[in-house]
Amino acid sequence: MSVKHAVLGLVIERPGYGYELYQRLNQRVEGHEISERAVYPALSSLARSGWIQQSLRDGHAHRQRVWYESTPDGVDEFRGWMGRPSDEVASLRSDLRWKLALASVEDLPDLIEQTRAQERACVDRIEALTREPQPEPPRADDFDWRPIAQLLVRRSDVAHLQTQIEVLQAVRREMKATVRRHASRTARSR
Amino acid sequence: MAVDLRDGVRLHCAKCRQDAGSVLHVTRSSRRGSRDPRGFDASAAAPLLSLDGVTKRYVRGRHEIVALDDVSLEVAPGEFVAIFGSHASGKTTLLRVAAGIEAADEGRVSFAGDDMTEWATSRRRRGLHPRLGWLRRSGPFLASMTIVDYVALPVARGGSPAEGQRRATRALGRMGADALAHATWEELSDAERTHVMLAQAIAREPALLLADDPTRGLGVGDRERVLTLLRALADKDGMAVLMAVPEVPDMLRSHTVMTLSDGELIASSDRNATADVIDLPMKRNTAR
Repeated sequence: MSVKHAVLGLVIERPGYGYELYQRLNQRVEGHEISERAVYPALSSLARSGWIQQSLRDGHAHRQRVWYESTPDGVDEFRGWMGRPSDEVASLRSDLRWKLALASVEDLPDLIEQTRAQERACVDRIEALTREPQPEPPRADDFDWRPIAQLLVRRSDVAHLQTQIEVLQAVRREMKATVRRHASRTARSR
Repeated sequence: MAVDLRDGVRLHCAKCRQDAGSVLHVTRSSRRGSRDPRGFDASAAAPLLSLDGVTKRYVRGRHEIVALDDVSLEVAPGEFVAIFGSHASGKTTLLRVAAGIEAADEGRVSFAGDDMTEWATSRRRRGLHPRLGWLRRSGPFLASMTIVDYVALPVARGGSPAEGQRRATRALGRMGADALAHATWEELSDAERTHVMLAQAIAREPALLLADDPTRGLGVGDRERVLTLLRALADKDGMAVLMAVPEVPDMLRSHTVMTLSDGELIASSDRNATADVIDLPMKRNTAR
C-alpha cells in the first residue's frame, strides 16, 4: 500500500498529471526507482477509492491529459496512514521509508512513536532467538573449524537486526532534534 | 477489552487508549509467583535491581546532554539482562547509576532493598555495594602481583587475606581461569585478561554483576566463551547479570534483551505487557 499512499501524498502536496507525479515520486525517493507501471495503477486505485479526482485538461499539442487532485477524504486517509503504526517489521520498514520522504514536521511525533514500535519488534525477535538452543562455544585449545562456523552463522542471523535497530535509532535521534528545534523556533517567534 | 498474552499474562484495558500518551489500564496476572520458563527467579517478591523513572543529565559547556531519559527497568535474581547500545547511547551511565557510582538526577534506583541514589551521594565513605560486582577494565597497579592476589583485592579490603585467597581461587575456577592463578598480568592474552577481570568482579560473590562491554576486543570464540560463562553465573549460581554491549549477536545467550539510544530504553513487548501499571500515564520508557 505504500506506493499508493506516497502518490496520494504527492497529489495532496500539489495536483498534477500522471507522468509529472511519477517524476516527482522518483525525485523524492532517490535511489529507489519506482516504475511508471506502479504509479498509474496506484492513481486509478486512489480515484476508485474517492481519495483523488481526475479531470481532462488540454496538454501539450492540444492533447488531452488526465489531471489529478486530492479530495477531502484523500487528505484524511493520508493523515491517517501517516499516523498509523504497524507492528510488522518488514511492512513498517517499507512504510517508514515512504513516510520519512513525505512527512512534514507535524508528522514527526507520530513517526518517532513508530520507530519505537519497530525497534520493539526487533527486540522481540532477538529475545525469541535467545530462547532457542545456543551452539556450544569451542574450547580455547580446540582447532576444529566447525564450531566456529556454527557460531558465525548463528551470529549472522541477528546482524541485520542490529543494522535495522541502528538505523531506527539514528532516524529517531534526527527527528527528535528537528522537533526540538522547531518547537524552540515556534516559541521564539511568539 | 482483555487480551491474552504469552506466559499466562492477561492484559485488561478498561477504557482503551484514547490517544498517544493517554492512560493505559493494565492489571497483571501472576508473572511473579512462578518461576520464569527461561530459568531466572521471576517469582521473587521484589526485583533485585529496580530503576524507576531515572533521568541523568550532564552539562557540557552551554549544552545539556540527557544520558538517561526517564528509564525504568527491573532485574530479577538470576536474570541475565543484555542491553544493546551504540557509542554514547547511555549504557555506561546506566550501569554507573545502577551501581550507585553516580546519582540519578530524577527517579529512584533500588538494589537489594537499598536506595542507590542515596548510596551514590556517600560512596566515598562506603565504596561499592557489598552485593554488587563491577567489571573493572584495568589490570593490577603492580606488574609483579600474581593473578590470584589481584582477583582477591575486592575481598581483601573487607575480609582476611586467607578468605580473599579462597574466594579468588573459587572465582578463577568459575571463570575457567584456575591455571592463571600464579601468572602475572603481562603474561596474559586479551581473552585471559577478560576472564581474570570477570573473576575479580565476582570474587565477593555478588547478587548482581554489572558488566560494561565484557567482550570488548575479543574474537568470536573467546566472545562466546565469555558469554557462556556469564549465562552459567545466572543459571547455576543464581547471580543476576546486567550487561551492556555494542553488538547485537552478543545478546543471544541472555534471558532478556533491551536497546538503549540517547538515554531511551526499549524492552520487548512481553516485558512491557507485564508492567504493573494501573491507571497511570503510559510511560514510553518503561522496561519492567
